Amino acid sequence: MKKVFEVFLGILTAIGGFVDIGDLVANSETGARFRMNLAWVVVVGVVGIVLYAEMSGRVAAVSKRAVFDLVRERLGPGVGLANLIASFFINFLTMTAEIAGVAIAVSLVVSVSYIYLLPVAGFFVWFVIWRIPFGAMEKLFGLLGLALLMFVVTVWKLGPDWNSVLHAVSHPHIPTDETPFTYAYYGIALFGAAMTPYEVFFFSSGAVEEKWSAKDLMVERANVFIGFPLGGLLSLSIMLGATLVFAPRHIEVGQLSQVALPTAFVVGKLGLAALLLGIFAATFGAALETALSAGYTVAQYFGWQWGKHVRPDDSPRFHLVIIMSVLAGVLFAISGVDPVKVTEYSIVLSAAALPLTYFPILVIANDPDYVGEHVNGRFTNFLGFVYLVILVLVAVATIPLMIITKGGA
Amino acid sequence: MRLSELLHEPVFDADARPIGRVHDVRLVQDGPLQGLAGAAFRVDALVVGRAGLGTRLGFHRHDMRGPWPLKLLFERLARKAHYVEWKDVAAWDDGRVSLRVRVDDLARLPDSP
Amino acid sequence: MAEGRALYVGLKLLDRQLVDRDDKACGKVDDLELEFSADSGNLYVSAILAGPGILAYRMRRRRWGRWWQRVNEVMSPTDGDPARIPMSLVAGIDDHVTLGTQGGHLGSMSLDHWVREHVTSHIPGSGHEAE
Repeated sequence: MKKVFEVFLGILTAIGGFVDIGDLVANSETGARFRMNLAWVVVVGVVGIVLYAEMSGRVAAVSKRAVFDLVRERLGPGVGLANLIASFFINFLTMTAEIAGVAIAVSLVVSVSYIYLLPVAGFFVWFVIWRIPFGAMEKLFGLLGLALLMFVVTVWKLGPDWNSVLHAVSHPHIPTDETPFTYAYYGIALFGAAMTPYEVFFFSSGAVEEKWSAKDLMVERANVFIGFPLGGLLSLSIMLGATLVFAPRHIEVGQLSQVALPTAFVVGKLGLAALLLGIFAATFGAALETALSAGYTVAQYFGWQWGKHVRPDDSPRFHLVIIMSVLAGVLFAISGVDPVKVTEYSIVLSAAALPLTYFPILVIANDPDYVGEHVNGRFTNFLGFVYLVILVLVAVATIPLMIITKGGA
Repeated sequence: MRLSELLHEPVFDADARPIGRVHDVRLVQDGPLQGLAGAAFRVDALVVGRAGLGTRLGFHRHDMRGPWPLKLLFERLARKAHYVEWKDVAAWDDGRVSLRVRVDDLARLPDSP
Repeated sequence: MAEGRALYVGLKLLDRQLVDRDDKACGKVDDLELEFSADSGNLYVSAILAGPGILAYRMRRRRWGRWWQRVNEVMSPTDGDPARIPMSLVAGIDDHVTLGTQGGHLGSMSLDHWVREHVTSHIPGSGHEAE
């Protein structure tokens, strides 16, 4: 019975924690511009993250080592360093966007410019990492994130013709006022938002923090196989809401506050309040994950003691990296960069760097030295290889598309 | 002397033909006793080849699994590597490793460690 | 003659996590020190090298690596080369390399001490027990 509750809680946490500012922005923007014609990309992305999260979780549970720990060991320090630099930079962009998201969500409630709230947001992100236990932190923000189900309520209240929605999703085409290039570019952005690398760093490091073992694999798989797809459905409801409310009026999404408009429109003040709570929890949770990932990646590459499961006194360099990253992120956001633009760049660059992160995982999940008898099955390897090819194609196409479309204009 | 000064060094056979770079070093623990670890680790052989990726990723071990296209590719690369016993090394200086034997007399990488 | 345990350095030793006697992480195996034996003429691994500058030296940034090593030597309270871990201190090599000693005095931990003393210990709650 306790196990069932644990699994249930894990799934809920996974759903609430799935959506971050990248998903909020990407799904709203594409829904407004492309209606549901890119919905299939979210599905492909969710399958991908489920596949690789399961692999990295399994590796962490059986070998008791996190992904970045193993990247240097298996690929060597040179490749590992290139990986570290790229991942760290992209993670930093994402973290900055998430912290800005927290500040913006709060600013919508207290009517203070989000710029002033940035240092406050940064401080609390750091404080939670410094003091709140890992498990409590994950569960709290994961469960609060369930308030994002307001997006589902919104869509349901909008009462679309579900047959035509299903038809639109299964028969994608490029809208007449868009080019194949912008279509591909936004597809890549959606894909990057679904398969964010930090998710994998955090998931596998978290498995070690919570001292998972092979016995926990069933719970881990339930979280991933049930929780993540449901989180994907949540993403799609954001896209559908934007499709129904913005697209007919030719409104483009350029600000985070617009993401909440469909709900304010349809469900009213109470729904909006719940939604803002959900956005706050989702971005705050993601800010925690990206800030921790900054520490995880650097500390794991160099072999320093890392983690919230040890006292800060025993992991000083790990915490210093986190403190400096959050500080730098807050300063970068205060400098006035457009948070939506930073978000867009972070998800697009994430997509470009995906092979770096996922190739080592695919290799290590097949190595009996690390996972013993829990090596990949043939189907997992088949899917894993197909996705590796997809990731490489996406990575190669990203920068050219960014240039051609001038950043998605 | 450091291991990193041996790794990636170009290797030349007895006829001064280049046969690749040092990708890995095989150690055998049969030296004099050294405290907690037991016997000391002796440099026994070198793995020399052109592309190191296959051996680096461990695909030359027969228990290593993987999607068949990757296995095919990396096992091919790994199998091209040469196995040079340390006793066949004539000299290691001047940024190169010179062997006493000719490349045709060299063995390929054995399966097990 | 019975052969002892054999392993490939790149697969099993280099870049592996170092763990001390109390299960604390203390860096990675950045490089190995090799020595010729006077009697047998064999080449043996005499020490593990870990610490600031060692990896840089290995990755061909030799001057930068040497500079970092010298800084570490100067800052280190112990005599001799702080980055050097004699093989006699190695208790086991499997998933990671276990040392039979406490890691506090190792060269790879010197920056840890500095950060702890000058940064984290000044923040309340740094000694707070982990969950």
